[in-house]
Formats: sequence, structure tokens, C-alpha cells
Amino acid sequence: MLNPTTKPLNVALLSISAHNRAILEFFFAGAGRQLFTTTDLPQADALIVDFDHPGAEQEWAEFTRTQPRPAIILSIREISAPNTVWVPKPLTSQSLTNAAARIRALLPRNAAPPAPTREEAVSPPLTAAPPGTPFGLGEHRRRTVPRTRQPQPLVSRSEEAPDAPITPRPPAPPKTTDTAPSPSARLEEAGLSPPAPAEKPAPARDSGPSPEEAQRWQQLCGTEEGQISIRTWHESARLFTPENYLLNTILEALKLARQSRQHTQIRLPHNDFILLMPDVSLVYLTLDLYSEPFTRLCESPIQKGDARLHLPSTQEMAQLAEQVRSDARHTHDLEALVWTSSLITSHGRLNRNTDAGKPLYLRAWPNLTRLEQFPHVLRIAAIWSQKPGNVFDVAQWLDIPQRYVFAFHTAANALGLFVADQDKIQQRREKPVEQKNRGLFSRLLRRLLGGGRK
Amino acid sequence: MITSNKKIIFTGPVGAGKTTAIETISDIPAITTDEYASDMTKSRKPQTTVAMDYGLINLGDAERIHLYGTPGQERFDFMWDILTKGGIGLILLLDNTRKDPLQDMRFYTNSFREFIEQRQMVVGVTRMDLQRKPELADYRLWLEQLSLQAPVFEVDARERADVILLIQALLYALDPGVTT
Ligand SMILES: Nc1nc2c(ncn2[C@@H]2O[C@H](COP(=O)(O)OP(=O)(O)OP(=O)(O)O)[C@@H](O)[C@H]2O)c(=O)[nH]1
Ligand SMILES: [Mg+2]
Repeated sequence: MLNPTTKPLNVALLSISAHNRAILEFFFAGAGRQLFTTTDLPQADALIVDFDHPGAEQEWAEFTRTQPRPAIILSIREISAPNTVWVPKPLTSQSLTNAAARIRALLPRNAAPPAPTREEAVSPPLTAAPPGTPFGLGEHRRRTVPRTRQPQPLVSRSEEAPDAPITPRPPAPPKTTDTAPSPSARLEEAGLSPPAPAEKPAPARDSGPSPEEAQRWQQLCGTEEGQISIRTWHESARLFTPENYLLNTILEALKLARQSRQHTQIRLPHNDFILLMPDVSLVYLTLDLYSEPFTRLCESPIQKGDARLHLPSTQEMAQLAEQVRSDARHTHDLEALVWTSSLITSHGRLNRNTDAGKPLYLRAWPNLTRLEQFPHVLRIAAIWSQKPGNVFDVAQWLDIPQRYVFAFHTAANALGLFVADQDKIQQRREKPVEQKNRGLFSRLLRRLLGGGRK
Repeated sequence: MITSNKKIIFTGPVGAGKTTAIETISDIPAITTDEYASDMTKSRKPQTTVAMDYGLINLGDAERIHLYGTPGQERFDFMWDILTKGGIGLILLLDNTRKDPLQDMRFYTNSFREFIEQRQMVVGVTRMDLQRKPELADYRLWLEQLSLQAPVFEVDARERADVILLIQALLYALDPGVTT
């Protein structure tokens, strides 16, 4: 490391792209602030030149012919020229630090900067700069983009943007021509609509739940405050028998749909139905997934014959496709159906058919941006991804009511997100949890969830 | 006086939504250096970030969280340790409509490997509203193959709730003991 009492070296950046300049200046303003400060050419003790930039070598040669100066040469290929230090790409903060020391040795003695006083050596940290000067970008290079979002053309993979003017800013974004069907068009071709923007209940907020939220969480997770243990759980009343509920039919239908690779229908009373579309991982329901009627259908034991599996014929499929297309609002991710129906069925209880005492870990997080949330769901996902444990462990680790963990367990299990294999559990390496930022993280979360200033 | 300065880094390929995501949650108008793309063979969008994006979340007088977005153009000039010093974690945005999102994932996780291993990454897959394939299950599998543990979510960078969830997941993954 450089002697901290040495003044940073005045360097000028020569032949460098805006992109690389910005990153270097960012570095010099932060972690590398003891090493370099950027300046204009006449004041510079040394140069930094990007030899991979077109024309750089000539520009450097011409400049140094009239005004010789040591230079740090950045390049992919090795460069050896007098009065230079080569730093290979990709650049690291360490290699730049080393280069700073080596270039100092090349400076003429009288140009060596004087040792500063103590105060001078301590330059303010980058991030204490007033907002608007986050990194040392030259004013002329910075352009503030207005916040208001302008409609942009949606360019899909198969479309290349046609030539757009480079400068000045065009009055309107260039139009793209539809040379190939857009992805959503492709979905429609397959008789499907892209899923509607999820109309799921809003996520948990810090300001306390609304009465509707509180009620919904009761539907999903129940209200039980008491604890059961690994020794007593199978005798407890907090179990459900999945065979009695619609959830079981949904999971059977899912299996059938995936195995047969066919759209599979679950026919419900009153001509309602659920259509599983495994090829696009979507589901269509005639009922609103987040409505009272659907909740009622899931929460009470279902009568035999009230939910029947059916593989639609080609003719029926044509009709169904039409209905799905004209009613995109009721199309959801398959996972959303499995998740929500599992939660309602669980109602904060454990599945009688699972071994609740068995340690597990989460192979992947549920897609919580498009799934219904409930209290502690993110923390449960986080800890279960990190640490294998059973449902009782998780509730204890997080010090939360067991009902939330039981509900999560039921839903994540139905989605196939758990790993229970003992060998894999053994091999799992745990990342040590650092608690030192807990206060900061908590303030950031409160700020983001509280609605705050934005 | 500012007593705490931490940063969150957003990275990912051109057009994945980095600038948009930062704008969506920043307290100040995001500062960016977008320019009209000059290389049309590569460009899929008229504007691209040539340098870096910057945004800020103020947590009262003494604390702020800085949001940095890397330029989307793929370059091998820098090891990203230059950017990530002092970072809380990384948010990788991947565009589901690009030619090879797996290749994108490889490139960025490789570039930031050390940082990801020391801190944490969260992956947000954008533009799934336009194209459903690959699916999240594919991304989960790719991460597993790369021996990386990271939450993956479908997001729309224009949706504040989605971007917030990425940050929530990042913080909880770093410390599940955090409470609000
Ligand atoms: N349809 C759709 N558009 C999105 C989504 N996320 C972002 N966008 C749009 O995608 C466009 C590109 O987003 P940017 O934020 O400029 O992307 P970037 O990652 O900063 O791109 P570079 O600066 O070029 O690297 C913007 O018009 C966004 O509004 C999404 O999930 N769906
Ligand atoms: Mg950008």
C-alpha cells in the first residue's frame, strides 16, 4: 500500500473512452483517492493512457515528443516503452495501486510532490460529496436524464433497432418495425395471453397491516399463537389431510399436465374451471385467484366429484384458447396457483403426510414478486436457503409464530423447492451471517417499505 | 454529518433495466450518462449508459445508501473490484428477451465472483412480460450449475415494488435476523 502521507499523484487521462474514464475517476474518487487525482494535461505529473483505445498510441507518442512525461499504459497486450509502466487488463484496484508506486519512481526528483501535512492527506470520502457529484465525472460528460419515463419501443429479440440518430436527441424514440411476431404475439398465437399484471394483495408494510391484509393473512396462516414441538406435532390438532382438499386435485392435475405435456382442466361446480398450461407455465381460472369464492373452495374439504380432471379435446381446446385470450386478467403463473391454494389449505397448519421433524433447506426462493406475501415470508425464505432445519427450528431461529413457517412449508413443498436429501444437506456450506449491519439494514427496510419520500 | 455510506451495485447486460431500477427507487433524480447508441449492430435500444448510473436513498441525516449501476456494454477492461469496494451486495438484472441469458449470467457472475461470494447477489429477470422462456426454473438451475446461491425473481424494473423486493431479499439473505 502507498504511504498514506504521500500526496496523490496528478494524472491526466489521455485517449480513453468515456466508459473507462468514468470507472477510473470513480475509483480515484473512492478507494483510490490516496493514489491519484485527475487533472488537465499541463498540470499532470504523469499520464494514464488506454492503448486499446483507437489512436491512443499515436496520440501518446505525439504528446510525449513535445512534453515528455511518465505514463501508465493500460492495455490487454504487454507494452514495454521507456518511461512507462504497463498495467494489464482487466485492471484491478491492486494493480493500479502498484502502478502508482512504480510511476512515482519514474518522476523527476524535483517534480516529486512534497509530503503534505496530516490534514491534507485525509481527503474527504467520495460518498460525502454533495449529491450530484457521485463520482468524478467531468461536468461536460454528465447528462441528467429527466425522471419522467418516456414510452420506449419494446424491442424484442428478433427485432434489431433500425439506425437511430446519434445526436442530437431525437424528438421521439425510433419506431421498430414488426419483422417477426413479438413474444406476446407468439403467446397469443399459441392460444394464450400473457399473464395479467398480478393483482395480488400488497406486500407487508411497516406501518401495520390494513384490515383487509390482516384478514387475508388469517385466511392463509390462521391465528394460532401456541407452539407445538417435534415430539408432539403428529398428535396435535394443527394438521391437515391434503387428500380432503382441492389442493390435492391441483397437484394431481399439475403432475398429469407435466407428464402428458397437455393442457389439463380441473372442472369445478357451477361450470367454473382451472386450466393448467404446462408448456408456458401459466394457469387460467374462471374464478379470481385472490377472491373469496376461490378461498372458500380451497379452505373447506371438497366433496367427491366436485373437482374432476379432464384432458380437453382439440375442439374443446380451441374454445378454451378463445376464452383465455379474451380474459387475460384471470391468467396467472402456475406457481401462483400452487402457492396460494397451498397457503389457504394450510391455514397455518402442517401437512399430515410430511415428516415435519426432518431437516430441509430451500433449493430456491419462491418467486415472491409474483406470489402472495404474508408476514415474515422473506425472512423464512432467507434463513431456510442458508441453513438446513425443520419447521420448528426455523420458527425458533426467527422467533416468530409457528403458523407462518407451517404455511410456508406447505406452499414451498408443493412447489418442490425443498431439498431433504441428507447427503446434500451435509454438503451444504453455510455462509456465515454478519450481523454488523443489522441496524442499517433495518432502517433501510423501514424506509423502503414505509412508503417514505418517494 | 454523514456517518454511514454504503452502496448497492446494479449490474447486467444492455437494456436489462439498471438505469430504470435505480430511477425507480432513488430519492434524487438518478444521474446517468445515457447516450444514443452509436453501434447499431449491437444496440437493441436507442439509449445506453456509457459510464455509470448513480442514485441515492437517504436514511435521515447521518446515513445514505448509494446505488450504482454499471454500464451495460460488455467490457473486459476492469475487474469489478474497483466498483464493489464497500458494497453491501449485487443486484444482477437479466433481460429474458436477450439471445442467451445464460451466457449473460455467466459473464456477470464471473466478473463479480469474488464480491458475490463475500457478500450476496440477488437476480432479477426483466421483460418476462414479453417473453416467458427461459423460465425462472431455468435460471435457478443455471445458478446451481454455477455453484451460486442467490434468490431469483421475475421483476419489472419499472415497478417500484419489484425493485424493493430485490433489495429486501438482498438484505435478508445477508442477515435473516433483520427486523423492521
Ligand atoms: N416491458 C418491459 N420493459 C422493461 C422492463 N424492465 C425495464 N424495461 C424497459 O427497458 C428499457 C431499458 O431499460 P434501461 O433501464 O435503460 O436499461 P439499462 O440496463 O440501464 O441499459 P444500458 O444502460 O444500456 O446498459 C426501458 O425502456 C425500461 O422502461 C420489463 O420488465 N418489461
Ligand atoms: Mg442504463
